[in-house]
Amino acid sequence: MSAEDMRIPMKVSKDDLFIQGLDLNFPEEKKTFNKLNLHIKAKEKVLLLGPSGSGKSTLLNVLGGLIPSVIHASMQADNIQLISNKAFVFQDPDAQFTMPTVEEELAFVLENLQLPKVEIRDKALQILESLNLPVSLDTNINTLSGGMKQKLSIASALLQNPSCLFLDEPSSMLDEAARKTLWNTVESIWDNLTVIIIEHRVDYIWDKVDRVLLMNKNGEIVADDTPQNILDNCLKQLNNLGVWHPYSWEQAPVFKKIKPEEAILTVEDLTIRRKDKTLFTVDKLTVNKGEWLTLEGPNGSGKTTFLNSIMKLIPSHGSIKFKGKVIKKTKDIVGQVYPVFQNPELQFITHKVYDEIFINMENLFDIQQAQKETESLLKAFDLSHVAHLNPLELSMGQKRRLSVATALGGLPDLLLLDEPTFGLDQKNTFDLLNHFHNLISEGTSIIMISHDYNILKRYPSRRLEIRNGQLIEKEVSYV
Amino acid sequence: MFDSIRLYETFINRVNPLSKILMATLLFVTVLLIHNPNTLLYFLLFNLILLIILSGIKPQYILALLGAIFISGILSSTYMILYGQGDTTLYRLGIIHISQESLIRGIHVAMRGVILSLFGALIIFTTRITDIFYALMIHLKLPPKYAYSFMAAIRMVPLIISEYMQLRQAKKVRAPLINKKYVTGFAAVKSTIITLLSQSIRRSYRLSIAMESKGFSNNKRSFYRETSFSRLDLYFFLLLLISLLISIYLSQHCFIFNTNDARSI
Repeated sequence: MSAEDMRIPMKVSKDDLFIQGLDLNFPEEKKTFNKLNLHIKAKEKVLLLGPSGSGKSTLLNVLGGLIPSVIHASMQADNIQLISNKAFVFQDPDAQFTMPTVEEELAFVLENLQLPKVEIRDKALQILESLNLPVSLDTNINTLSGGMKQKLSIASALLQNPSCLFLDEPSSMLDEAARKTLWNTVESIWDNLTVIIIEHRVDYIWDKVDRVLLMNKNGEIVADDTPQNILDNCLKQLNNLGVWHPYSWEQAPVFKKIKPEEAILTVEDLTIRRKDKTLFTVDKLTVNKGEWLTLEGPNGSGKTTFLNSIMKLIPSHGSIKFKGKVIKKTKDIVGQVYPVFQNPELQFITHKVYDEIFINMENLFDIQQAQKETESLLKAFDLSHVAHLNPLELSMGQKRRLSVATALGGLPDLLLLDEPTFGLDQKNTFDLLNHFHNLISEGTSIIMISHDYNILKRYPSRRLEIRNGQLIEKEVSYV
Repeated sequence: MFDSIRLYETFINRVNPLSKILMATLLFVTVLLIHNPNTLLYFLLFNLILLIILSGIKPQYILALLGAIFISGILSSTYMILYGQGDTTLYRLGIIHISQESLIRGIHVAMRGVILSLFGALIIFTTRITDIFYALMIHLKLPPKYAYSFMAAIRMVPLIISEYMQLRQAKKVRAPLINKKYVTGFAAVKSTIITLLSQSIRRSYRLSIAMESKGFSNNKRSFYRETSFSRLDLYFFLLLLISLLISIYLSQHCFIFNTNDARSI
């Protein structure tokens, strides 16, 4: 080892991360990195950008020492210097905690460090306070919101006293407000740390990092500069790779507004309850053909519940009429109204992307026509090249597109979408928005839950919000 | 785990989990060796009272559980009651033959099951899962990697249930649009299992990486919760022993069943 250390250049201090000539590949896959070089100085804040499949997570895991010790891959480097006291925050709030309560989770980290029992409680309380996380120690983690779970992850990370912090899309499963709070929290603690970040939605951090690394689909670093210089010089590259950047929405698709026609859905005096408590009420809501409605509201206010109650998947009091007919059961409107759930994985029934569409078609057409329709729909949703895969093997963007496509055997009159653009990169988001517009021009109406300010002020013809226990209509103002 | 349905805590909550497991084992053997149905009946009543008073669980949940325990007790004894041997016939219809002997033996078997269920419920309601694993690690030197894997796995159960509910909803909205064969029978079971499994495997893979990144290994560690044996363990044991002794005493003096050995009526 010492012989290798000798070869680390003088300019690299012992607290820097340094990689020279890194080759890496996973078994049965094409090479991820080929002679990659990277030098990150101590206390630098670095943002890693790139399309999905560019190897940014892999690079992060190499820098953090998880590859090859925890995740196995064949890796070779001419020279490598990593930092031993480091900590991670990952993407999925549900796959980061070992223990049931806040106290036990924080204790788990400190036990790993063999901290004596008597010091653990104070340490845990201290870190919660310093991160402004107002939960009691015996809180069950399952009852926390996504944003609070991610803050708790940061708390666990900081308890490890790291000098280098690795953040792997920590906010991608959070809504706008929680994302903002999370990044403010990160910024408040990062002064003395080297921080390496992977993040899709970069609005809050772009100006705060020192350096942006842009990677392409072949795992090469194609740009490495300050955020400002990247914006000045590489805008075209950013757009081609389809990653979000501060100017993304300037390229957003612009649609002609479509004139609404007759009313198709009328909801009157609806009361939605959850466990004996009234969640919210709807006095009157009419949805017309060709409208694009959005639905906003804080976490837990009942947005998803509302979509499910229109579908009659959960009980509610009040009247729901679809095309003049009173709806009592799910099967009264199924096919005409179609919900696309937030987790696309849970919407799939077959084991092949092709079959997922084909089973919708085979009931409507003869077999040859059904095959033709299937292929053209796959093509329209840019899924032809993955038609042979299992739906669960797709990337997030592909899964979302497929879950929308499963609605389209016939053409539903009303699509209910639960945060369809959540966690997608720029290209996939714009693609989906285009699909939605096409559907509306063909006569479908859409009610879509979204937190994304940029979508809300561009696309909906009407905006709904659940506020103070009531569904209200908001003024629409476009940018 | 039962914090949301608990009204109050009792000293049983602070009894060492290992003592509880040990007592449950002893109880199992003891109950098997009791052949006097009168003793069992009194002992059952004691266990019922212990559960109601000492579990600290809200009454409606206790009632629901008792219902389930007694129904399963009755079901488990029906075979013995309906087809058992005996001379004093109470009822006969075809191959069904209920005799006084078979009835008592059936009830006897059912009571054994019910006692074990009642005691088991008391223990489960008053023990935190993490405490069991801490106790196993500290006293029985269970390697941390197994203990923590189990605890992490238990956290996943509610997630799997909620995913299952969502899958069902999705099937409900898709089913009318497609051929029934995809959403019924074996195909449906297969797709449900594959989806749930693949979600869980992916999640546990991520979790295992997260755990190791937090410095978890099978090496030495400190323990935040100390589980030790205390006087409470002894009290609990004595409580159980005394109720058994009283049951035996009562069974000698006040009969409810007209026999003192279910085997030789």
